[in-house]
Amino acid sequence: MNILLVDDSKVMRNIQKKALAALGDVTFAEAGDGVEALAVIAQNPGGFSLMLVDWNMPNMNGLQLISTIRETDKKTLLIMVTTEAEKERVLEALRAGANNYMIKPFTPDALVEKVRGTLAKLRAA
Amino acid sequence: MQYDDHIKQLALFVWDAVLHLPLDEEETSPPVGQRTLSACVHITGAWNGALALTCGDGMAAESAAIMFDLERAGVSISDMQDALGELANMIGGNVKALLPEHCHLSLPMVVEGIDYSFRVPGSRLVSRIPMRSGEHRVTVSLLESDAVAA
Amino acid sequence: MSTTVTKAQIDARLIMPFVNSTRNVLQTMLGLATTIDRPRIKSVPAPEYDYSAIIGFSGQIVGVVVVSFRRETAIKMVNAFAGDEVEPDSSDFSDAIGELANMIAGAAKKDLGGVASISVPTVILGKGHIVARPSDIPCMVIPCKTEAGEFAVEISIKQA
Repeated sequence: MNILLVDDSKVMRNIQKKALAALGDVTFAEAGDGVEALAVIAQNPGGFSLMLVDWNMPNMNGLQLISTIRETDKKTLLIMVTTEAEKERVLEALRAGANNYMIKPFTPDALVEKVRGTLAKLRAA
Repeated sequence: MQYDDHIKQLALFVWDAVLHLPLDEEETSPPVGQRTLSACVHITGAWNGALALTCGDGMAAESAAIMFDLERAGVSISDMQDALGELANMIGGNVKALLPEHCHLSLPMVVEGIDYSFRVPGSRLVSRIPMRSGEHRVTVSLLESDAVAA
Repeated sequence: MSTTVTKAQIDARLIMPFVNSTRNVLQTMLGLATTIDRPRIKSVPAPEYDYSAIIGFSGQIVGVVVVSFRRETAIKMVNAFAGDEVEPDSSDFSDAIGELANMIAGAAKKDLGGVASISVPTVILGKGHIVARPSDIPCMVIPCKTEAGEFAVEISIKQA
């Protein structure tokens, strides 16, 4: 499984990589903001099973990124990862096209569970 | 937006209107190793960044004495912090007026120390203007972030 | 110099969300249990720190929240957060400090009883600096103790 990690904090991307290594056969690509993410995606069309997307980032934020991706790609799993915990923000992200939502802070186990749960829902659908 | 000229003009305006003191451009940055105070205000909304105003004790004390109508000898650290915070607030407020609508200004915070730096992750320094008010060195800095604040 | 602060000026409803979020963030992301001492009014003269991350609040809640560390504690905490050794004073180090403060403030925000925005963090790096707060808002210090050392979460916020 190829996962794209989009977060302006390199520390946070490393934390996510370490946690998601528990999934087994995974490879990672990274981007520091929405613009960079779109460039990575353009170089690897259809190449990612899953993307973890931070909300607050320079140049293009996570919400804008998700909306842009969903214009042409309805399949790739997108999980918003953010401190924004208000219900309205969660709904906003889901309406934009996120498949699921992970609130910071999170334990490595919680992140893995969230990803597994999201994958399972997709298979069941 | 070209920031340097706007920031200079706003700083001059505030120094003249509030302190009735001259403020001139300076060619070089102030020397390191001296104790300074920096007042910082954040701007959030349609434009995101921070404005910082830095000077030495002497300028901060003189500003406090003028703004709060105090004898120079009676100016406290708190007065200096408040004065600088207020000046940053005014310059920042005027910068905000030049920006797209729907921006908010935070309350100011003031840092004191000898050898410190500001870093705003995801931001870049877009303007750093060394100036002089009489014998005192003053620096106004603007950092811009494209991150959408939470 | 003493400052009389009435109970009406210190709203515990604005402090407890930060107590809870600090514990939660430290335990969840760093695996550190945090002992929180009784919040108190910030003392004068203020203590000096080596790293501080400042988050501005605007909207229905206004003010600033500052998370401050001495060097040894910051190094231990950033390394625990990253799961690796991070070069002190590097941009990754200040990013990590900023991210910790962002999570503490972000997690508290929803429980403050008002609609507010938080700024991106400003990180101050410099041995022995002091951060002062808006003087019209009392500054409450939440003293925190962990195995990695002590640090402070300082809250100067109020309903607008």
